[in-house]
Amino acid sequence: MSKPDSDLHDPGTTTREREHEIVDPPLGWEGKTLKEQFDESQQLLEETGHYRGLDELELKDSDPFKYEQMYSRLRGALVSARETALHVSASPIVREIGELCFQIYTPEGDSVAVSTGIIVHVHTGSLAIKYMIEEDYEHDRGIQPGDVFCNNDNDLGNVHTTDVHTFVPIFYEDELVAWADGVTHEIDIGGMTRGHDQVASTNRHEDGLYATCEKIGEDDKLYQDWRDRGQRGVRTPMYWDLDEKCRLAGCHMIREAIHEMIDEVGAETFKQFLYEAVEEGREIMESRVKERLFPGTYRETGFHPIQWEDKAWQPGSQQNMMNHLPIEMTIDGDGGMQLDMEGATPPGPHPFNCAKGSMEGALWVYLTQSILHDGKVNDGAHMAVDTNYPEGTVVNPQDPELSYHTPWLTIFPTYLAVSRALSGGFFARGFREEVVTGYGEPSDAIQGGGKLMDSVAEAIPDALGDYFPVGPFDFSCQGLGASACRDGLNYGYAMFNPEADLGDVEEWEQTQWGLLQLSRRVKPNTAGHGKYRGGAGWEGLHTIMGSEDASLYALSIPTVTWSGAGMSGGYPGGTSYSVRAHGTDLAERSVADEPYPLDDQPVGSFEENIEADEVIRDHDGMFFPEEFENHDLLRYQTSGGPGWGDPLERSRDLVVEDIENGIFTPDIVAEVYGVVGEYDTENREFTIDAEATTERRAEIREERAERTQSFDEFFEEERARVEESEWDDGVQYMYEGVFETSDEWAEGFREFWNLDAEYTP
Amino acid sequence: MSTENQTEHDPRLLALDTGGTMTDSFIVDEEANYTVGKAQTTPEDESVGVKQSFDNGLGYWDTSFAESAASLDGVVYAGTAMLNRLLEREGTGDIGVITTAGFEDHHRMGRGIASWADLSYAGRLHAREHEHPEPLVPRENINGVRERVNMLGAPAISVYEDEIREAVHDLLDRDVRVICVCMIFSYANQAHEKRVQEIAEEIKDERDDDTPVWLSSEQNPVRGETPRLNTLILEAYAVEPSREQLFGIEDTLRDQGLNSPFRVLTSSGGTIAPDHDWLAETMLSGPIGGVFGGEFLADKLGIDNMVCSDVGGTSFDVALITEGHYPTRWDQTLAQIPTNIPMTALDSIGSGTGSYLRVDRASDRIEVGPDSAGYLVGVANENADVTTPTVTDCTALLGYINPDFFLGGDIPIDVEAAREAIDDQLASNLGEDPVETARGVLDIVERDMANELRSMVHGLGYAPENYNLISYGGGGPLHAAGYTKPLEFKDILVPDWAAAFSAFGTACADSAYRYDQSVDIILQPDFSNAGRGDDRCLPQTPREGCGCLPTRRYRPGGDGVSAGDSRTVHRDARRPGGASRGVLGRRTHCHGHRGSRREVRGGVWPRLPACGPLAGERLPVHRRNRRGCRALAEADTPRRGPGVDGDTARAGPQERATDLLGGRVARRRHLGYGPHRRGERRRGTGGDRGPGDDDAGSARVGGVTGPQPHLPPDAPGPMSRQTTEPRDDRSDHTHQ
Repeated sequence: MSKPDSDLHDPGTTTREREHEIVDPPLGWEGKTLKEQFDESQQLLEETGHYRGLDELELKDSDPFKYEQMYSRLRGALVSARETALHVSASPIVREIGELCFQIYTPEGDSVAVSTGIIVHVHTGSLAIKYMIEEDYEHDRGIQPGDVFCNNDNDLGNVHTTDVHTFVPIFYEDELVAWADGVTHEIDIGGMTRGHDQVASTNRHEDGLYATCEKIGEDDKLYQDWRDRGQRGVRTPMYWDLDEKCRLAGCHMIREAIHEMIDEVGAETFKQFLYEAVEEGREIMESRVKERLFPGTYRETGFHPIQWEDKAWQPGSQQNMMNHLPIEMTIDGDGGMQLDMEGATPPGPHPFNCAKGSMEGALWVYLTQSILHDGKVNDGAHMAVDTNYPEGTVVNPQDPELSYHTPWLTIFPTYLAVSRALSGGFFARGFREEVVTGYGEPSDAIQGGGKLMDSVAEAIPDALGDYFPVGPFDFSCQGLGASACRDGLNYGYAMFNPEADLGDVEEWEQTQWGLLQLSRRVKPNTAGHGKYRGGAGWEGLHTIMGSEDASLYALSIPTVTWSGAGMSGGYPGGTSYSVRAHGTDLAERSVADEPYPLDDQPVGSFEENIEADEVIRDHDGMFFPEEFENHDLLRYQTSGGPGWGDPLERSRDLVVEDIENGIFTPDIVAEVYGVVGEYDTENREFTIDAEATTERRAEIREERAERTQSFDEFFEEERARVEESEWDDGVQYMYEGVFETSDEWAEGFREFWNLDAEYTP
Repeated sequence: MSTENQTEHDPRLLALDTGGTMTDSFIVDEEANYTVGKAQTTPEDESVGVKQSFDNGLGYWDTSFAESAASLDGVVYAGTAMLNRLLEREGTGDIGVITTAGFEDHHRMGRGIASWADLSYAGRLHAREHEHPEPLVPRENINGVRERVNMLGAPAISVYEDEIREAVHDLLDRDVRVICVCMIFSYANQAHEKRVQEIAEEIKDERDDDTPVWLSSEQNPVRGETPRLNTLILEAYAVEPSREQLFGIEDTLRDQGLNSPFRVLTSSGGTIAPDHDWLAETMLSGPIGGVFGGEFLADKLGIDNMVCSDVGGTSFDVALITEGHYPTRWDQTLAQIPTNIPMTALDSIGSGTGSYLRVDRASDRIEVGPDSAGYLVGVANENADVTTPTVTDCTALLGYINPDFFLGGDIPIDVEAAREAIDDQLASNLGEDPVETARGVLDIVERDMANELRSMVHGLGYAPENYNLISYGGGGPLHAAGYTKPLEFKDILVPDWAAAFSAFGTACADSAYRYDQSVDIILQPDFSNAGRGDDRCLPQTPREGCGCLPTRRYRPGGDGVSAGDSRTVHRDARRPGGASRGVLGRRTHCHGHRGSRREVRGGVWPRLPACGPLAGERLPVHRRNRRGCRALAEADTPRRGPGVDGDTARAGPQERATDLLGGRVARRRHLGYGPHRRGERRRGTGGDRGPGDDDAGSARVGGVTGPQPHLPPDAPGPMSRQTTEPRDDRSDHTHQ
């Protein structure tokens, strides 16, 4: 086999003379090994409650301006590395949407500062560095100036397989003073199917290329064998290569900046600064919690239904499952926060298993957007929160055999629950405007790929190959949840990256050559209802043209039911659904100027404008990779955010606006809000029938009164169902799993429902 | 304020910077002496403030505008009126839009980024703060027409003409002022937009209607359908109404005797006449004037690389001139709205002399800005009611500014008030002395500025050692030493007219019309085709056989695109003596690197070497009359390449049907995974991928097998389906 036909390989990588001097261990400070330094750090934190035992910030106190200048210089170096390095990449995911991030760590692997971007990695790189220290790379594998390491093994410190980290140790004289880490999100990682967030994988061997805290270069050059492995191991070698160069270039810029800083302030001051910055991060987090959240215990649960009995490929996955993602958040009066996930489902035969580091990273993303946006984001903040992601569960499996390709689908429902818990804390403190009932979970992520027909490939001058990946990041614009005083943001929120961007169609189609977008429209009735409604999602339609061998799939959530709820009487946003048409007459229609579908609004109308051999309409938006021929159609939608408060209390004027803006349709408004009137669709003018509205609202209240029952009655009815395990097989899967894993949770459940000690679901 | 004590002056050039509060003017005479005038801006009728400002400046030379008007070579206008119109949502509505069907919501969706675009770093992180701006065009005024052009510029779905008719009639019935047309990939092929225009013209004739129809592919054929549409909408919303203001100023000045050109500064660095087709480029012109001043000085002093740094009251702005040129950006937002207006690259941080200072009590840390006292200066300003200390209060306390001569003595400075505010609100919280605190604040502010400089210079791959730096703006000279200290620039320049440098820069701008065109090429690893962006200018004629719907429209051999394409014509290149310079320069902006599909924006623009708009005849450009309709003023070279205009045959349905996407190809499975026997049902991690798991029921090519993805019609589960011809039956192989 020959190498891929590309000049990207540089045969001269490892033959020149070394530029960096070899340093003998110990590499830590004051003659310690890294392991000793790490252990000491752990011990000091445990004993004193302060990072490195720093109960005072000497540098900050004695020279606050110098201290702030250093922090600003460090942050500046990271942001500047990111801004520069993203120009090296070619993938629109990195270049346009900014899915990359740089961090700086202490020698023992605690993050000090982070750039903008996918800040979820503030903590994940930390775990990988700690793994290398604990495994004594210092003496065994060797850590030298100019070395380059790579990790995307989720179990050791990553979010999901397609996030790839490059680490560069930074030395000053004979000591390792810091680590630089760059992460990019790859468009393909060589997994069992195309796509960057797989749905079909069930174990590690199907996830794709893994680098397990691996040394991939020395003396600032990547090993040739590593580069070959990477480029041959993925479907998109050009993007892989340029993304890797992007990460490495950024890390080297950071190293240079740190050398300059140390030259300026001296090594001792720099070291002191690193430690104080982490401790300050811890203190700021405590102070924010104290200031903004009301003390108490907040309990919420996220659910993730996986309705796969008739859908999954592998036998072990062909079942209906539901993941239980409970959280108990305790806020004490001194700024302490505990997050406990006791009762989480065990890991499963799906790619949604989530390593502890991923959960911790996601916690930081969420806290940064809600409570820490004006603070210092680093591992100090992490140390201020006491987390329990129980071992052996889907949120901390401790099992490298599993598939970790798409932990986001565990993360999203969990942090929906966290968002409601935090909102409870804000609300109780009186910060109504800080309440966020949740968010539309970032899906549908349409993924896959295809090959161009020869005639089209030839028409693209200078193309590199004819394979095109499909992975638009337009799913980064969902609806945000309502607050307790206003509506949620429409089509503009991504939980994983607060700087959401749909991207232009003209941008995405530069890479996904054979996939043509036919529509991107606001989708009515996706927003969660409420006195303040959630933000709306949108609906899209794709077709395939000029391609062969195209396969597509959608990673969708919420699936067949909601992952969370609204607050104070608000509804959750709509669930997703999928419509695909195979063997269509799109071509014939388009030459005869016959209409083709642009959406499925009203729901069910899609088929009116297309003839097809087969139309698949699925209540679950998620589907496995499926072959698409030219002119086949794929309709998908993003989700809306949950609402806050009783919809009957929503101002009539706002309801009118909702109809006129296409956020809700008049039939739904009459049903939920009790607002009745005439809608002139042409001019988008809704006129309220005041009398009918008053009547309808009274009617709804009456209906509610009829449905109302006493709590005791309700409890008894539900208890009987629990006793008989009268529920869907997905729910059965969930309770069985939790009972097997957590005696503590099972005991609490029995106690709550007043069940026998022997009860099992 | 003026130079020299010369008694006789012969003013030649007047430049204006019309801000929200003050109208500054910069006036140069034959001997390069200058004087600066100031007057209150008069938003109702800007010409009043303009004339007063000129008279104020010229008053120092004992003359007035009326007395000198006849001898002027030109007047250049820069201002923020259009931007303010947009910020305050006081533009003119009644705009109609026709776009690709399915994408009618793009304007209000603002690509998502509109909701956070103008926020501070903390605000961007804080999702709760994000909010979409109110759309400029109501949804009912946006009509979709079915069509699609693909990334090669080939029509993948031909445009539905009946839908065009319906859309145009509907918008005319709604009595819109203008119809803006923007379709996906129209920058690569404008045929569909053109067709909309042709049909609209027919309908307008029928209805005796003169509503103008504007095409995004004519205004700014640059990649990115959302910003392209928005830019066209801005033209109608905020720019076109401002045209009246500009005509008003021009008329006032002409009444006073001006007979030389009246020009408007653009954000990309040239000046254009107010009756030019498109004025969107003049939306944001004030703040970048300094860059052109920097460019002019760099040229005069023989400096190749220069960093321009401007310390204003509210922000610190940085721009880079490298080898005599400054980069241009296309992805800026204006009042949160994403646009593709070419703008001189300028980075800003919210750190200026008026920035407020506070101590964050959670971290005991000084916070600078991002809000600012602006022209109110600070607590020390006896004439303003500012209570929060600012950066200027610190410089006042440190004795860096003369309290009796601030802004020439216009604003009396109370140093004690500054000391008190700094002590109360900052120093005491930090346990520091107020003077030390003030110095510390300046260190932080100047360090932030240095970071910004470092990030801009390094961010483009350059090093400060290769650059000179020029510092201007009201606070430039005061802070230059501080913010340049950590960086090794070659030299630091501070012009003695630093405070009026932006207005001076406006006077330096060349007379230039700029046309941009995105050309997508894939750069090869060895850059062998890097220069071919020139050849690819205007890929208006897609290649034959690119697999999309009708290809008949474009005949073989119709490549018709060459480096000298007529579309890159420029029409404004005159020197004082009247000699036409023709094409003075040709620029192709090529952003890209190995192996990536990148965009080349070919801008060709004529440039004049010296100070800006100069005497001479009116230039042959498309002009807008005052109703906004375009009229060909003088002989004009067609802007577009051959083969796409109205005379190109539109293939009939029959012909088109024969060219449908290349028939069916041999089916191959590339789904990449083989089915497995049903085994353990619960919580296993799946089987392994053994060859024995293959089955005869699935097609197999090249050793890769895949299950048929579709369920049989009678399969249980949540799907509802309509199947006329099931492709396969997976049960065949899942139950083996």
